[in-house]
Amino acid sequence: MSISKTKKTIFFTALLFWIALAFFNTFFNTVKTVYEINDWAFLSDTEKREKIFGELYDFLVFVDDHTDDRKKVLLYANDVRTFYLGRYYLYPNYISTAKTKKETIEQSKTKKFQYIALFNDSLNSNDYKKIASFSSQKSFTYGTLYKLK
Amino acid sequence: MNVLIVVLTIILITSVGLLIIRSFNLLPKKETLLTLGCAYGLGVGVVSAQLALYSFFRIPWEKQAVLFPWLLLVLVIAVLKRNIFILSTPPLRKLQTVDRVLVIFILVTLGYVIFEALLRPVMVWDAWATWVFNAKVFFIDGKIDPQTLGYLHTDYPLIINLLGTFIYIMLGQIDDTSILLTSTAFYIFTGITLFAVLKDKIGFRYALLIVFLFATTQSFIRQGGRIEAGLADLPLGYYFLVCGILLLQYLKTSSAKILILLSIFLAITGQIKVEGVPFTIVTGVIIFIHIYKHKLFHHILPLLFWILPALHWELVKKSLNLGGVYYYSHPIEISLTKIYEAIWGTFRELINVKSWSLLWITYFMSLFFLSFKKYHEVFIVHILILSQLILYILIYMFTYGNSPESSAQRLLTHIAPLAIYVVGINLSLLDFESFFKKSKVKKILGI
Repeated sequence: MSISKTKKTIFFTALLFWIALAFFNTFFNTVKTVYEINDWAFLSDTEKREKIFGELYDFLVFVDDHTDDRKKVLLYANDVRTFYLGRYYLYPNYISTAKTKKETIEQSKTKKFQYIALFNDSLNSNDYKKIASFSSQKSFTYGTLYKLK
Repeated sequence: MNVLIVVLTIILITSVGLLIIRSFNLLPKKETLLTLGCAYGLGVGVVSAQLALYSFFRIPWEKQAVLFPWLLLVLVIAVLKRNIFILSTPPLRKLQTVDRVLVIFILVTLGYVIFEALLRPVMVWDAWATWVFNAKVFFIDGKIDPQTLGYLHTDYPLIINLLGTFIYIMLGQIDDTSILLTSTAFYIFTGITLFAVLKDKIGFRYALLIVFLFATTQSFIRQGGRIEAGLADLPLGYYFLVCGILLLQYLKTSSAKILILLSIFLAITGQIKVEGVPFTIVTGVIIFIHIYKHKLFHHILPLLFWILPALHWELVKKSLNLGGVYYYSHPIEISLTKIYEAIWGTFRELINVKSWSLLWITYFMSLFFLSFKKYHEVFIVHILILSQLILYILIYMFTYGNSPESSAQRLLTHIAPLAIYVVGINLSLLDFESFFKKSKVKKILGI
């Protein structure tokens, strides 16, 4: 069964548009590279991570610096992103998350966690003492770290 | 320095795959480029299996211990089969202006992708939540700790994770920027594989054109290096492509060696992402039908090898209570709204010119324009692509928490390389050469 000339013309016309678009994309991406170099190439590794993750990255580095390895850390995180990013940057600590302040307080009473970290919040607990405070140099963002007594 | 070590490690992984294919003649000797295209994927599976076996037998993941078997293999083969290291290539043809332009544009795009991969640390969610995170965990632990698997709380297979861990072992440290070159490697080897299979079917220039179209598709650029590097979708797309090509070769030749290589690749594909498993089942069924039709019953045993790693992983998950993590978070949900959104959302992504240019539009044109009775090979590839696409749409329709907006672009990456292959085949089946000669475009371009 031969393929009609119309079908061939439609298919090949689409292909030619795709080829034209591909050439345009190459020019576009090349020009974009210049802007990317300007935005990223002269940043340090830390600055790049701050640009991607914001001050949450600085807070997680702060928690990592002030905790021992292989400990259970309760991270007060009302979004899923904070939990997964905390897991990534804080391993080999084991991160659990509390989504609300109330949940954080309830979890603190179980004493299952060696540390409790709160981003933009603090905790009153008889079982945990504050061991470090985080304060952003660029904004009013803060954080607190508590250790089991 | 880390970048150089990662590049050398990728070369090592490719060399491992190359040595295995050539030592056992799993592909014809003249298929140099296809061998090279398959070598990286095979090497990835092999080194990941090596780390898994080391962990099981409590062999430390020291750099020397990991490298030793491969250095020994090279030595043994250098003594016994020296000519394996000789990669014969056909004489390079003189490039015309059009060819040179295509090569330059491909290289410019490749340069851009590599630059982007090295510009930023891993930044896409699924990479730091799963793929690159798990690689880091295994590296820090120095093994696959069953307790840690419970903490990771994922039922995704481990090959891509272990590839990352292998890179970290070679580096001796965690570097979540340099590791993204493994994604770029999948981007490159997908291009090589496409070129290798298409140049014999549609000619050198049109194969180059198809590789150019592949290389400049934004979805592949993103997963190859820009922003979305570190994900497992482009690797799965590469494995789908290789499996599809090996399947066609096997159906054509009924070669037991091709079947063995295909079975190995199916085993690896099923261990890249969960989405690889249905693809391997469909491929397995096609192979089984071929075996039955041609009474090649002695081929059943090599075919069954593919099932073993998948079975093993299911047993591991069951023993650690990891099975069903995905299904627990995505239970069945039926509603008319979801059905409508699944179909409409997938359709919108298929015509998303920003992500896919005209890839899917030309693919579906070829689907409706060609007669399957006459073009059997293309029919088989359509089955592979459409069965997977229909499965994704059904998942969107009937499971909670899945929608085309969140994942269609990534899922289509799995089957897009095969779709580009189909478009490439159609250049010869629909006689693009004659159309191009008769059209005014050639005159306008002055070629």
